[in-house]
Amino acid sequence: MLYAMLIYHAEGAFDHDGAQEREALLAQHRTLQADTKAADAFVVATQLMEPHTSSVVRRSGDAISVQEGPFAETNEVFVGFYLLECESLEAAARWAKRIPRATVEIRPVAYFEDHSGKTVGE
Amino acid sequence: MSDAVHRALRSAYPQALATLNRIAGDLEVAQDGLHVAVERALLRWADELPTEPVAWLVRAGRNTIIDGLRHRAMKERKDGALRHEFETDPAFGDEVIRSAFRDDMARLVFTCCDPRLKPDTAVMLTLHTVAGLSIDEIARAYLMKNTAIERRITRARRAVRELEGGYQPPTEAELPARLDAALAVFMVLFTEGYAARDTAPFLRPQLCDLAIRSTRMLARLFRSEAEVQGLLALMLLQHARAKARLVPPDHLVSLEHQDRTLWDLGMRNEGLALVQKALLRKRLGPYQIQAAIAAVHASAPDYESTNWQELVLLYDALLRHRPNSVVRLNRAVAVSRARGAKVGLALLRELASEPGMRSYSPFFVVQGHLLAESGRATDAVSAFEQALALCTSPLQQRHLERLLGDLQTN
Repeated sequence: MLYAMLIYHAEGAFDHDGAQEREALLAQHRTLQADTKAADAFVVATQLMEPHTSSVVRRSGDAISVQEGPFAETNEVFVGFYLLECESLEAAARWAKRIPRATVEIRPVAYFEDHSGKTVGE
Repeated sequence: MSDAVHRALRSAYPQALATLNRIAGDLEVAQDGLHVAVERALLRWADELPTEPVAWLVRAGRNTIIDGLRHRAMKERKDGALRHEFETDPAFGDEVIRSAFRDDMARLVFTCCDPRLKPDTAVMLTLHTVAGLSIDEIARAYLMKNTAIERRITRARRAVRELEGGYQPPTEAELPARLDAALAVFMVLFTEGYAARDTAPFLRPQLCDLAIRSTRMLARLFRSEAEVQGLLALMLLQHARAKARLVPPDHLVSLEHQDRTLWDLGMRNEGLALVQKALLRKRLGPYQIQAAIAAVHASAPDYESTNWQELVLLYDALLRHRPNSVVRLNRAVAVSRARGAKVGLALLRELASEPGMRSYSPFFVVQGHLLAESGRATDAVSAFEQALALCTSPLQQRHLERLLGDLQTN
């Protein structure tokens, strides 16, 4: 089963990190990526820019407009996700626990297709 | 102190200070209260981190503040009612602290960036309070001694105390002007690090980092204010070039000769994303236009393929907001790239009569480059010599000396 690991942080959680802390965090992600690749679980890793960079397309009746983002004002912000192929929820949770300093939502993927035409859920 | 405690304290500090500042109605009292709370936290948090660090600090700080006020009240009026009044105030729940966060931070920003304060004073206050930096960190960024920074902060705090009427929250109509004053303060901080000024022999990229961090906080606070995002974009796009701009120890590299592979891609991309968003919004202001100018440079694979035509249009737009001769000088550079050195030199002749231009070193730098390109090497040398004589930054001086050396050997 393909799982999405949706990563949330308190806004500004890393503002006060020094270069060393930043490097340590990145290193943990790199190791996780290497390990999931070695286990044939890795599909996608994505980090999003800050919420203030976002725009929202809204519909009201027939009118469509591009408006100021983010979509929702929350204390915890969505910062990125992994897509990992896992045997079970238990296996997915094992990987998710290794995502450092974050709250992680694990959601099974219903449909997925990439540029190579590889699909899931059809 | 463990890393986790350190990190929790640092990220909770500004918000806790902002809330205490509202409660105490006095920045200095708030800082003293928070100071005691932090000392207590250092003892307690090592065992177990609180789930709500900000609320923990606010409660501890508030108690200290109340004790202080009560002590003073008893001395003055033997009035014990004060503590009771604070204790029954419903505004201290964790939820309230969280929901009032934006207002409290805005209040703190506007206290520190009061337009009646001198920019340097406001910068010190902003670093120490809004950005929550220790004196040690500020001193390191400024390449100054701790004692000197301490003196500056003490002076800044005194200046705030002496403001008549204290803090006044801006009305909705006043907000743009107050925000503008705050943005100017953050820009001063950035420029302090970016420009090699006479007092500093080096660029100070740490100051740029601090300015970006503070502006980022401001951008989160005022999400719908296009100019705040514009300023953040401008800083990111300029600072993205930092590594290419200075070859250690002291070789300043102009945009034309920078190795663009050294530009920081993360900063550049975030800056570009913010500029694109700004252009879509169609509420352009001077910071957004300057960011758009930086974005044109950032998008060019090399100096030759820069879209100079677009830059001229952007400088025209900037002139409508900032009609001054420095902007006109920069516009002249873009025009000369788009339409040739001769056209540029004609613009400079018009500019030369502007007040201040004939004592402005960059004017002669531009003139020198355009003369050299027109094949007038002797005139170019005298322009660069004039630029050198007017230049007060050691870093820029060495840059000009190298230019002169190149001209004279060719």
